[in-house]
Amino acid sequence: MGELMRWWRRERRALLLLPIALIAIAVGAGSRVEEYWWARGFHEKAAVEGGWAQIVDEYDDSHLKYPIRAEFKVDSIRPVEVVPGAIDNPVVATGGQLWEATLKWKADPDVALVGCNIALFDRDGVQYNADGDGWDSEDYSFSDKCLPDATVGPRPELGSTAKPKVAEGDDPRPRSWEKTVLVVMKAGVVPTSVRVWYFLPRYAELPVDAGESAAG
Amino acid sequence: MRPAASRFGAGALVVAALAVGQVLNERLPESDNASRPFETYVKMGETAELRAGDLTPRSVEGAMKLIRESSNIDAAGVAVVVHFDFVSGPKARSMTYAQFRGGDGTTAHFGSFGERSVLACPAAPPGLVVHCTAVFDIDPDSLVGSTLMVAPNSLDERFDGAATIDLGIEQSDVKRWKATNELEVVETAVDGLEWVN
Repeated sequence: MGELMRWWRRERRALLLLPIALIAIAVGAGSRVEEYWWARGFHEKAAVEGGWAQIVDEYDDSHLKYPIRAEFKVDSIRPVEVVPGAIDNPVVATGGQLWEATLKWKADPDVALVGCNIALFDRDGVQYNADGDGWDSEDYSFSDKCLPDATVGPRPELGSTAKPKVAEGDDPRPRSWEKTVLVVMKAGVVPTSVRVWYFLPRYAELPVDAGESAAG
Repeated sequence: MRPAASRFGAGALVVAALAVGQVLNERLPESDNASRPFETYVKMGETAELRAGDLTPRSVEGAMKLIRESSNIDAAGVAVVVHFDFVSGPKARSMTYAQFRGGDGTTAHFGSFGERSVLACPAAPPGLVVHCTAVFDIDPDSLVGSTLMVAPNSLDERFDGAATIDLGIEQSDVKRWKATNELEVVETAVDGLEWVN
């Protein structure tokens, strides 16, 4: 017994270092977690203040860097059979249902906001992107999913490191606006949340209440 | 315990640990092998449940010339068309990589940007059926006993699920295809829509 106690005492320094060494091994071997998991999924959720989701992100390709700041809230989300300003009866893929989502936006007119992504999620976490797939959108003109059609505000010039600026002849973007996107979901499912993101893992999410208007 | 015996015991343990390490190093699969895709073997009409979604091979046919909306293919060997259906899982995925494995050991791979050999299986919203096609021009002698692996990512298929389709081609099929001058290819589309891409 005395022998064993002596051993513990003699090796106490090594014993204390052992868990630290194990943690160091795990961290060292986990370098892929960042690239293959963290940076590819929805992991950093934006704050919501008074119903407005606060998008805080940054464009950074190591040559050009600019901040992304905007707020949005859900105005309406409903299943649609006709698309205003486009074809009367959109052809939707078999087993699909077209949904129209309108978001209200607020942002500083000097902030570049081009290139957002929007998706609706059902209660099982299935992701339906607002990218025009799943319906015949031939006669429908797509524009930036989050910005007013005519006044997108500052945008970076491709291949240039100059600060994003409003294109010549364009009016500045208003301080607040509305934008509608169209999403095909599987028939019978109902959106329970909407997510907007620029660069994962950052995203903003708001709940959606479309339960009573469920499509068949 | 006497010090000498204790030191001997510790030395023996170190040697044993090194020996075990060496054995493990020899026996464990190499990283290429360990990170290979999870292949699900599937026959015509059956469904492979992959991480990306459900893939169901429908049919395989061939001819000396394929008539397509985009461009026709005059086969150097024989032109083969594999039709399969794909339904995305929890998010929209496309199939962009195909690897042909011939019965005679021939391999050929192609993706979604090919011209003569091309895999067309674009993303559609989850739950909706996409009618996909894989078209390739191949040595007719390699067709009997061949399989076609189809995967979502052409750059890196490691660790992901892939479907390996048993094409079920027999000598009589090859003979018939060699004698078929032309075949019109039904284009890829999301079910219920006319056209995608």
